[in-house]
Amino acid sequence: MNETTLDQVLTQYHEANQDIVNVDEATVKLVIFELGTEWFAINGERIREILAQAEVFFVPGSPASLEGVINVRGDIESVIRLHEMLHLPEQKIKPGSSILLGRGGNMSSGIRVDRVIDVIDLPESTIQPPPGTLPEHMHAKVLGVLRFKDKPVAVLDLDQIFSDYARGLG
Amino acid sequence: MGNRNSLESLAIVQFSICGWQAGIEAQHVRDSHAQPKSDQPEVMSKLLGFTGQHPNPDKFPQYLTLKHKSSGNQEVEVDGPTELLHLPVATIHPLPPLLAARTQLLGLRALALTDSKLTLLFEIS
Repeated sequence: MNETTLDQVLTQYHEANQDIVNVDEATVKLVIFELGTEWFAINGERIREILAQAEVFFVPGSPASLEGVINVRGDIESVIRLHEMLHLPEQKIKPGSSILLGRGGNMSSGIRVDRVIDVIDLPESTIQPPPGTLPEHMHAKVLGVLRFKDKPVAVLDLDQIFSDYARGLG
Repeated sequence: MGNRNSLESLAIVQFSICGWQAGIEAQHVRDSHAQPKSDQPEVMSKLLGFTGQHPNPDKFPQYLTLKHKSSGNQEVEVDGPTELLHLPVATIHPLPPLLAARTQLLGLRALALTDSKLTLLFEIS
């Protein structure tokens, strides 16, 4: 009689496991935030830090959208506001606002946001291509859109945002 | 003026412009004086593009003689007091890229942060 050995059982187990295909969907980390009444997101890989409190030093001769500079543990970073670039009504800095330290287009800068909504991993499939109804000025700046907590969220292209900003387009 | 730059510090002549603290490398300054030597000294705030900024009502003018490689000496009016300082190199930072791209100030090259005080560092060409 051919008896089954433990080795055979374990070998079969391991072989079966090798056939298992990882069907987990790729996810993307997003930092979702509010500007005015609109919600936006930036890929989490592009956000180095989220600062709730930082002393901002105004630098004369800067455009109104450049709030100033901050000292981040010995490094100086600019802080910009995206309201003008995104055609949102300009607002005063709200309590609870934060500064996202972002990287894009080989540049880094702080971005003032009114509120951080969430930092979350979402399946990539939840991000849809930008719709044709997106306003003209947003076309180049939006990588995609999604719905989060029943609100539309535009995922911003930080490379494009920083490059446009440096060229004076915002 | 002193020219005692080292790896640890940078000698600057510090002054005010429209209420802002500013400085230029001391090696580019020949002297500082209270009375103008020339008939019409240049005004530093205009040279550096401070147009439209509010002047400082408490200012008192001081005059710097700047060394220029090409054009010799140039006298400029600044807001006093003027000081010769040695800024620790660790407090001096290049301009962040977006600020460098968008500033309207002419010759702004770096920022110094000391004791929560910002100093604008200029290079006069």
